[in-house]
Amino acid sequence: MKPFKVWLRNFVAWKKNFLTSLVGDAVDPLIYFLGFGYGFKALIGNVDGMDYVAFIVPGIIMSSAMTGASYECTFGSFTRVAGKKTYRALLIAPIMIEDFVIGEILWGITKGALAAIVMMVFTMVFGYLPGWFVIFNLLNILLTSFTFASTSLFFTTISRSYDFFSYYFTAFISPMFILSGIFFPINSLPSWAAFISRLFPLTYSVHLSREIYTKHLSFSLILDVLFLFVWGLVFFYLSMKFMKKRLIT
Amino acid sequence: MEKGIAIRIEGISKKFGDVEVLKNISFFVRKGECFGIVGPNGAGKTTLLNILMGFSIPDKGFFEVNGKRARDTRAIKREIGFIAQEEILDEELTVFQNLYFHGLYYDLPKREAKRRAEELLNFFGLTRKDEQVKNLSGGMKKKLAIAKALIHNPEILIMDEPTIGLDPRSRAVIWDTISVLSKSGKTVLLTTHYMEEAEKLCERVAILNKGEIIDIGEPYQLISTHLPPVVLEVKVESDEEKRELLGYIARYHMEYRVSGNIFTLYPKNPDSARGEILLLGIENIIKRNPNLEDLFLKLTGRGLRDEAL
Repeated sequence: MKPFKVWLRNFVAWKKNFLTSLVGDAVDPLIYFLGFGYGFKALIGNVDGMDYVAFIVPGIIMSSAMTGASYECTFGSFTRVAGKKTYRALLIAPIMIEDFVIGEILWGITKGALAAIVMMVFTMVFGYLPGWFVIFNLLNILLTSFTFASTSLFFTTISRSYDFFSYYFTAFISPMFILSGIFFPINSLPSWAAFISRLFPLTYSVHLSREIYTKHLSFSLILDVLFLFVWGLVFFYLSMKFMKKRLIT
Repeated sequence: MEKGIAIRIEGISKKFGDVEVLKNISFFVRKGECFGIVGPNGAGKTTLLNILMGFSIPDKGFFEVNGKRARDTRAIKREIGFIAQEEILDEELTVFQNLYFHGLYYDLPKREAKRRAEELLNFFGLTRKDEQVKNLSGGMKKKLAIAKALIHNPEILIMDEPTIGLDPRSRAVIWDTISVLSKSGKTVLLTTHYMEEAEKLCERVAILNKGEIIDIGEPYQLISTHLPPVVLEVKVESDEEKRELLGYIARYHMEYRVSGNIFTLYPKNPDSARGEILLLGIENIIKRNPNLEDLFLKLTGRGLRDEAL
């Protein structure tokens, strides 16, 4: 399997300093977990009948998946496509651009999942242990990582420099982090803002995650899964198309 | 495809915007041959190799590599070991990992990839196998790039400017390596703008200029077809000598090129020309055999009338 070899190459290059990388991925959501969770808990008390920290835990975990996958498939992938041009070392062998794109996305999923799992373990250490069914959320983590790995890789294919990603993060990732229902129910937003929020993929990840955490499993969750999957698929297709356009003259 | 042909290129044309980078390029490389594409920077050499590797799609024409059609890039890459000018080493991996992973990309089983990698490290004297690639010298990097290209034991090696940017000693080492590989039966297609390199290594060369092939043949045969057996190199010491010499050249409509204060003349009768130039009072004259560089400059017109007038 060629894409898996691209994945393996990225893994070997990464594991030299994996600890720094993992800490880097986890530290941001961790600060939000402590700051917002414990900081606001005293002021807010309960939300939707839940302890405030318990309310934000499912969403914080998904935001880790989002940032983990997004950083990898922007800065990481861009280094391999433009910075160090690692892709040349791959494509002189019988690795095709398709293999490369799939390998990058698989690696982005891995990084997203790692960051989310680190976060999950951390929240468990703080006593937020919802039980064995949390393993369902692993599928959500993989799916969310796929969605954001694809989206980010697409932006990498059309990016001319690293600077471009600051737009991606400030205009897309950051608003999503605040407005996707991690810290408060979307319904508390003005209706136009709630509408925008419903266009964000992270909103669906967070909803799915919280429903799993509160054991509200129902068929309506299929909508969340579909939204994330279709979104991911569209950007996966676009990544493929624009990567070819970029690398083949 | 007829037997004995490793690479066949037919009528390849390529434009980038309005610029015609390659114009109707056709040639073939025989199995076991060392074939050189010589031309200045910007002649289209790298573009042609990129087309063979599937990095660039030609507007017209087709090619075959060991009977594999142009469309089947994956199959073609299996036939070829490709050594680009730069950036084919994975800087985030060690020397050994570069070879090992390259083997995996070619679907070698893990154990076989490891064995081949060790073998090639020994062959190329790359002893620091756990070194990060970015710490290697230019010559070592080039050796590693060639070792990489050999990991799947291909019949055909394609090298883009194999010794560009290397110091003279490393260059000699790389020339020896290419020579050994060529003698061991590998087909080699290389591009170069060092005429000395082409003359030393290649059995046949194609002269490429501004996207067009001007002539193809064995170096010495090409030289003897297009140039007299002896050329004169004349060094002028003053502006007056220069004027005298240019006047003489103009009188005889003689072909020449100039680089600094050295004129290279291509007279039909070198001995009498030498005598006549001595009579002008110019004394620094060397007779020598023409080389591929002279041929190239003659065929491409570069250098002729460049700086003198």
